Amino acid sequence: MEKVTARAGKTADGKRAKELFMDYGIYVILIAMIVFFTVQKPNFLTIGNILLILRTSSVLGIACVGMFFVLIVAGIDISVSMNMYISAVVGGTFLNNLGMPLPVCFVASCLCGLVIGSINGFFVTKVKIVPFIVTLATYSVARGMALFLTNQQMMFLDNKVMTLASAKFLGISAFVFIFLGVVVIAHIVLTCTQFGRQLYACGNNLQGANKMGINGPRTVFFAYMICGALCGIAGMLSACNLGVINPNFSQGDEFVVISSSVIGGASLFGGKGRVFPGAIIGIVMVQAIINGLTMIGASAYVYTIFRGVIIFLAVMVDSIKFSGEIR
Amino acid sequence: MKKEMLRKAFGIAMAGVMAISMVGCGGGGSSSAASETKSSAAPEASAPAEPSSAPSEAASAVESAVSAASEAGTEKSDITIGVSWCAIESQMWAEYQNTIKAECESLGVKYTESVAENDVQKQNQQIEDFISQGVDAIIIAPADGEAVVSAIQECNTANIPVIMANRAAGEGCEVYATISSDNKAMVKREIEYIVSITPEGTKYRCLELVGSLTDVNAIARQEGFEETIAEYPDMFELVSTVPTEWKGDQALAGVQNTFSADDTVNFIFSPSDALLPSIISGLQQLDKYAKVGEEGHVTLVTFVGAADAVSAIREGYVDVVSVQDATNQAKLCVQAAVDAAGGKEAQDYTDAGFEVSTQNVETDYADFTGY
Repeated sequence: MEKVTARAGKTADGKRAKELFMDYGIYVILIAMIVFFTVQKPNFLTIGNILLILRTSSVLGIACVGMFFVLIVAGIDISVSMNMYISAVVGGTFLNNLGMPLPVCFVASCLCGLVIGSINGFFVTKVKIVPFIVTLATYSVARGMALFLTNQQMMFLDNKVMTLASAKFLGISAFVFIFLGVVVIAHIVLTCTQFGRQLYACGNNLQGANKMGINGPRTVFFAYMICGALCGIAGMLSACNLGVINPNFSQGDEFVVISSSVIGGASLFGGKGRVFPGAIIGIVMVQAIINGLTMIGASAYVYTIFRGVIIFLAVMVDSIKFSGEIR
Repeated sequence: MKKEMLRKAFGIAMAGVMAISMVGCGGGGSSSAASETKSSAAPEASAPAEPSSAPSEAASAVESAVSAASEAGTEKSDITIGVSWCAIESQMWAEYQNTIKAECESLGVKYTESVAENDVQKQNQQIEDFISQGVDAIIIAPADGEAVVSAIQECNTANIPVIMANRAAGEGCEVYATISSDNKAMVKREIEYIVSITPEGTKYRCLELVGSLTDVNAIARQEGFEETIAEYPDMFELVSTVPTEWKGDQALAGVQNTFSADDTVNFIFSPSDALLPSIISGLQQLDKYAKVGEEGHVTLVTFVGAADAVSAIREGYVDVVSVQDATNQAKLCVQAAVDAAGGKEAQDYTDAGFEVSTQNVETDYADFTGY
């Protein structure tokens, strides 16, 4: 009898340890990583470098926030990277060809992203096509349109974008403030509004949410729309940062955005995730690794290995978490 | 201009309608285009010309090839060349593409192309499509020289000659001719140039950007740079090597991260001009974008010869660019393809390239604007 009780106790302890690791393991890994890089290169942990990591995280961080909305409703948006590309091209065209001021270009990019997000949302909610397929199709269409508009050439942006790229307030890049502003607004929307709660409800159980009187399809549609609009802003910010839009602009960034979101606590199975601090932790961790590897002068091949390991760990942790849940 | 915009807007609207109608099938894929020339007769080309070290010499080499072809006077209107592009992601590839189109038209051969968007599987599939279309020769600009071997083997089986454009193929297949640059030697020469103009006692702390790790050209440029600086250990110290996958954002992050780690870095090697705008953006944000000779100047060495790089050299911000003659290479690819279709023999061509620097840009290359 005592043996049985002891075994049950051990099992409970093991389960608790597993849960603790799943919930806080990411912070342990983050701290371990910081310690490792700091030991290797003491100036890794300086204010200047921390601000740089935040700055380099800002562009994809905004797309990450958008991805959180989609992941919370149990969707996925593969088109984020090409949404950023076409939106940047539209914003760049407004800037170069029409001579519009920068804020107008951002509005144009945001609207372009919003349209693509709406198309995704429409086909997912009204036509009931699997999100992966819909967003894969829009990925291809958006890329094709961007290549068509630019004639597959590099689009050099007017030099006034450097004003934004170099803008600082209290020594902190304007990009960081934009990112943090987006995070704060998204956090408030998700935690303090009815719409936010509806998003979680739809992600956990769409049919149940519908029965409760929530307009599930409309909520999911808005999630894709928000994701699209934020990708539009991220695309234009990235273009301003680089000063040019290459034909391979943001190619492959969808994996960084999705894996960062999952690392930050969003679940590929829906119904989970807090933008604050999740989105920040997720993208900062990925960028901090790249920053750290550059600082210690790692081999060029190590970057690819790390990227693969990050994506694998993120999805594995998410799958283990989900396997223990009843929905 | 307005007409052009309207034409594009209409095209996009049509693409949108098509996308909506196809979205259920998950449509998408590579772009492709085909153009047929109007002239019915064109001269047959000879084997590719000897390597040249300047644009004028290169152009004369092509002219001699064309004139030799004229002597043969074979009908070419029934020849079809398939061109498989890895991606048109830089000014160099755009120049390559435009020249091949123009050359095909001038020689009177049919031309069809596909763009793989750097997807090796897609590229192999597109090459197989060319085989089933029965093209007479295929020009391949591979995304990955090794991964394309299986598709070339199928071309060998189908007796369709293959010409490699700018990147060599891996072992295990037969190619009719490889038209490429001597990447390693070109990089070595531009570093040697830096050595020759550097005052004794100067120490360069280097950031090396690397292109795609599966690109033989990127690897050759990396090797050329690392081997040459190793010959001058007192002058060069490699601080950081950053892979970019030819992407601007990774180049920018590499510049920012490296300077954050070590503010004394004063030398950047870029394996392609396509990364140059991002590098310049990074330096501007760090207040380190100064002209040659000014205090705080970061020595910039790049490769390819795009218009913006040459312009930056004229302005005095970039030190040297090693130029590969994309125009000449593209012409030679077409010539080799026409020769191959005509059953003639050809030889490989290695572009020796030439260097444009702040010292010779206004003298030797006053008319050179890049591409």
